[in-house]
Amino acid sequence: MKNLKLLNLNCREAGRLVSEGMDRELTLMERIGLRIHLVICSACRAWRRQLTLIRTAIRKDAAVAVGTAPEHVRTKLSDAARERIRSAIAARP
Amino acid sequence: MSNRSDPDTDHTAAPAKHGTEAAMRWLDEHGDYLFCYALSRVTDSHVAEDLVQETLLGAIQSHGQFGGRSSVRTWLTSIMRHKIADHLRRPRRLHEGQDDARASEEAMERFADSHFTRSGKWRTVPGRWAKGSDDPSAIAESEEFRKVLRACLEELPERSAEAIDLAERREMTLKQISNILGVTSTNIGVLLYRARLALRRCLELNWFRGR
Repeated sequence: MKNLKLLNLNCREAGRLVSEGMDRELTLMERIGLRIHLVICSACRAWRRQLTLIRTAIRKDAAVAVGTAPEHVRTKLSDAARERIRSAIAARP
Repeated sequence: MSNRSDPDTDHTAAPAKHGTEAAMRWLDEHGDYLFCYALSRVTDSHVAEDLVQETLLGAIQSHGQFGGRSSVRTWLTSIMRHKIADHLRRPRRLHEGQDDARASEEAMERFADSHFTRSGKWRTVPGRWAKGSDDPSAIAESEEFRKVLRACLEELPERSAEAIDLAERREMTLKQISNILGVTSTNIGVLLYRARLALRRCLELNWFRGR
């Protein structure tokens, strides 16, 4: 994006930069332009909070799933799945 | 010379039964753990169940090579990691033809565009999810919330789901993801942006509405 445009972002462009900033380093101009927009736009600030929450939740889900969380929070194999797997093991030639 | 076989050391005598019994034990003791592990890498619980099954069946095959150097759980986990890698390399959803994939990505594009007016303003202002100083990670403690989140992830088209997984779970950069998926960084950026808009919408409809 041209530098001049970066100083006058609309929400679609700013929203895209918020998303990009989660996966790469923004350039200096992108950071400045985004900061200017976020100062005056509460909608995009809300979007940024939502993306942060989604990221936190997905990572937490991964952490919890690998058994680093207390027993009651972890996901278990359903009884039906267990039965299926038992049958598959028993059916081995 | 005795023909008696010692069940503990003789793997040639009734190996099938020996392996089967062991696998049943492993399922009881380690099944949940392996399931959780798989779930942290693949978003679909059915796929995770299949991976547990493949891991246990594969473990029976290589039981003879398990020298007991590490714990059984560590050994099973390493087999699981191979199965997960195989799964991720497999062309997924073979029944989804090229046309379906293209159609769902076009739908993603239209969906993303619909969020903004022609001048680039939000049509609907993003809502407040956490009240004030609520800790976002507290919401993720809820098993119900995680179920909804997983369901939302399953709704994403193939490539979007894969990109989100690499970006959020495996914490990769745009460059790394673009190398893996064979797509330019710019396109990955767009893909992730649209996928996040979709996830946001799904969570809003299925969790936050009315809370």
